[in-house]
Amino acid sequence: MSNLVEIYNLKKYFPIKAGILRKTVGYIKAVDDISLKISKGKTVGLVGESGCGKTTAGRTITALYKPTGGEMFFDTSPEDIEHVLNLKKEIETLSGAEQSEKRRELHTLRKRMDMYSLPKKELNKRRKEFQMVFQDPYGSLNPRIPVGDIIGEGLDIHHLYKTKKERKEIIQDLMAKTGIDPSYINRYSHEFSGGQRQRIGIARALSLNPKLLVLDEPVSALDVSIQVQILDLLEKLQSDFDLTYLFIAHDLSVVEYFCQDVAVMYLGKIVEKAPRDKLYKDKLHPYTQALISAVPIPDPNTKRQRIILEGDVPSPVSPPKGCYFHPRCNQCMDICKVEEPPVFEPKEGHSVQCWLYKGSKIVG
Amino acid sequence: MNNTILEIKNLKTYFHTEEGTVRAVDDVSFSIKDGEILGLVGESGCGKSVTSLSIMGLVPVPPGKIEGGQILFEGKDLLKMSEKELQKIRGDEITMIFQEPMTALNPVSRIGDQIAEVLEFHTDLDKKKRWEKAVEMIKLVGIPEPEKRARSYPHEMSGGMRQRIIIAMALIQNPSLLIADEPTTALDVTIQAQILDLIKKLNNQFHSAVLLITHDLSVIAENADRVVVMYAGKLVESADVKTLFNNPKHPYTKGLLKSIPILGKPDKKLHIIRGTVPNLIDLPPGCPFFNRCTEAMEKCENELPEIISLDNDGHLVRCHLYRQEHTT
Amino acid sequence: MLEKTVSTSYREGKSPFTLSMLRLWRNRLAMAALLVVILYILLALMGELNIFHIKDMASNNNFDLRYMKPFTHIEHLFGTDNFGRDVLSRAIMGTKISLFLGFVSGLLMIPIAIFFGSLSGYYSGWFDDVAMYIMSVIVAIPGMLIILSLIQVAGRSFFIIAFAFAVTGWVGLARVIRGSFMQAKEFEYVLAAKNLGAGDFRIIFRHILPNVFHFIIVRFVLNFVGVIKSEVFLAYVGLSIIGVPTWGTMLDDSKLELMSGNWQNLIAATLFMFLFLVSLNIFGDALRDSLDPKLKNVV
Repeated sequence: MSNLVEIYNLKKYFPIKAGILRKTVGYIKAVDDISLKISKGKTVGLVGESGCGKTTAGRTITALYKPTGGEMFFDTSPEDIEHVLNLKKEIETLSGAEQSEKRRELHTLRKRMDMYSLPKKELNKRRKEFQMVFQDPYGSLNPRIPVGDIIGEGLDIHHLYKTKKERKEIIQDLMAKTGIDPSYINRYSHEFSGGQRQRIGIARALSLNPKLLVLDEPVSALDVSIQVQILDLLEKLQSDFDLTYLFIAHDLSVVEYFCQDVAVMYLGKIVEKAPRDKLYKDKLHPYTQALISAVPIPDPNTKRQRIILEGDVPSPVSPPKGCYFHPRCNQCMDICKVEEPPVFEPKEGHSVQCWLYKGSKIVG
Repeated sequence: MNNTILEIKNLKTYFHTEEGTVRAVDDVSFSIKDGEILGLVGESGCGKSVTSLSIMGLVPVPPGKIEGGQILFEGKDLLKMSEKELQKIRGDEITMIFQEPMTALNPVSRIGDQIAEVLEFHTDLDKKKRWEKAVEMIKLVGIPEPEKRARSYPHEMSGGMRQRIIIAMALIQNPSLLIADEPTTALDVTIQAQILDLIKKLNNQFHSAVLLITHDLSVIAENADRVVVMYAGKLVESADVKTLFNNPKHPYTKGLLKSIPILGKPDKKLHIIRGTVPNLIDLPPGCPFFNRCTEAMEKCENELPEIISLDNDGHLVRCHLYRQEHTT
Repeated sequence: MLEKTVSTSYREGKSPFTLSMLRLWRNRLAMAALLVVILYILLALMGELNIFHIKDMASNNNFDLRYMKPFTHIEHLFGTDNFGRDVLSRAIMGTKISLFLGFVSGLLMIPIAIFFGSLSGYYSGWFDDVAMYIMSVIVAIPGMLIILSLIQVAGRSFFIIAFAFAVTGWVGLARVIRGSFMQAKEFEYVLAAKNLGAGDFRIIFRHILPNVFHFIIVRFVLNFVGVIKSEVFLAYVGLSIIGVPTWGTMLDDSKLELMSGNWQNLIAATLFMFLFLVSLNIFGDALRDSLDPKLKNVV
């Protein structure tokens, strides 16, 4: 199966400015060197606690934030991607004129393929292909615009209709498909409930016929009974519209239910990544183990052993040395305190950034 | 251990708005026994928070008004007390912790001083003693280096730690009842586990009864002894925790339990409760769950079901399906 | 699988702006204040159109009727001044000048404020640095000093004075707009528009500016208050518009006349100004309260 999205070494640092001269005194490393592949038609879950950088990752992947570093290939052939990556490696081995010539070649290639290097106009055109559904059903809809125009804004921007009538038809069709009464086209968002607003957000994202939907905590602000309705809708739309999902969430039970692949983030890094069943059955990273053990289960008959984590998530401004998780880890070794672990792949398709698996294949 | 500490009888708390009367809590009755954890669960707008505010006497008036019922705390009706008498009970015998640990603390005052302040109002300990007691409480809620922490400010602490401080403030007077309104909703799962463990531990240690209000059935399952389920301002089902989860009776409870994803059972087919909660302003005359119920009958549309007792252990349900069996 | 909202019948939605106006409509005091303001506008219009000879009576000298006491003659309700001109008519003509000064300075000020405020809030970086520098400099100099020197240099004409008020007045509004833009940049619906491929122009004018518009309207209304007060000061130091009656020049005149026991100018100008400023303030505050998006759900 081919990949719709391939992200390499994505970084997003926010500068911290201080003093009268607004000098940069440090960085918040919200996303710190993550790589991720999303195959077509699948749902990849990105889980982590608040402040782990998952929302920033989602917004950088949809190019809402300009990344500090990294590449994103969207719907690019594997050969092209390999070509760019090889060229990048090659440049490091070269020097002098040859190197600068190759640099130029890489630059032109990236301007064509890497989403983050596209010229602004070009990028805005390609935004059609990857859309986002936001977390807050109240903050994500402009209160001063009727919902029909909210849903139709993408159509307006990309001139996707010929007549006013056609525009209205497209919008009402989207409303019907997402479960909003099409006769409410001229109402304002404050007249809808949280679940319905989230449907409007989904309709807006779908209006451009995207290939990828980044779902940033789409159900976490909703009531339990409404959550299922939205998850059900998303499942239906995935098959109807041939969508690929990146599902960002903090709720591990929902992720397990909804996603096929799961990546766990901690302090800006992906610490473990695997197909769902592998990740939930043999959790390799101590953080994943603790995280999953902390999830409450709606069954008073089972008592579970809980791994209680000591302390709190450190500040992403001054993360600890070595492995970022070591101060809270219950299996911490000496090496963890000094050296950051590489990404190991102890089992096929199951990668983990932890020294416990030293000796397995290194993939990054 | 089995004394009833708080009994709510037919509580009605309404909000009179320009659009009409919102029956936020409508004829709700339940009781809390000494030392137990009672879970109050429901979706947003079901009236669970208004219930807790009614107990604390913190319903904003106007637009809110308690239209009827009794709230008996150790036999005395809180609704008949003066504001002064209430203040004595509040913060001393009944205390409350809120959802948002960020805003419940004063940002410009030291943690230790804030905890000690509670004692200033309710006891006649001197300043030094109060400070010592505050440090002791910080230690009790599991914060390392309590002496140092007492001298720090709220912004120097994480959300989880702040919530511990708030729990310390709530428990310092050894209250007979602790109301915890969504105490972990703003926190991460790992921190949530810590806080709930702490509440449980302190419940064992101090024998304070706890009213645990949450939307999260899993939190209820793991922590509560008994459960009250609310929907659209009404009590729909109440039972001890095992009965409720093993043998739910009300279609809403059944649907809700079937609709949450369970860790470790990803292939479970989730049940979808269609539709939305009705508007509390013009509630239909019948069962409030009628429009979403899969087992609705004809009479459900126009006739509000009575609360029916299903057994002798206090399994109550408000549903026409069980009317033939027993009636109270 | 359609969900129904509360009411099932089809109807047009009410926009937040409509709801704000409904809220304002219900505020009786604000509506009374607005009525007073409208009356003033009508009065000014009547003066300008010379209805009831207001304009003539305000400017024609009549030395037979100098210093007529107020409230003694029905045809000259507020009496007459040094030159026998009707004081009431002069006060009415002064209304026109005050309204015009407020209106023109507001119109000049708002585009400047929107330009600097929105651009520096939306694109931080060098533009923001430069704009903030300019604003700090203007704020650091006392406003009256700038106005006085501008008038001294460019002359005491109507537009120069209005321009002088605009130059000193825009900074406060620009700062508010800048702050709102910095916040709004991260709103999810703004990100959503960006995500759809919207350009900066669209984001600024369609998504962010309408949400700071209430600041602009309220500032425009309250600008009148500031301008009227400043005009009085200018007249007092002898720098107001030449040749036409203003409330300020009337007060300035009265400072000499009071010695001789003539207070008709003082009482007319003060009464007119007081009622107008109170009404404007009441209306401006009510407008701010009803437009404030933070209060939007309180109906």
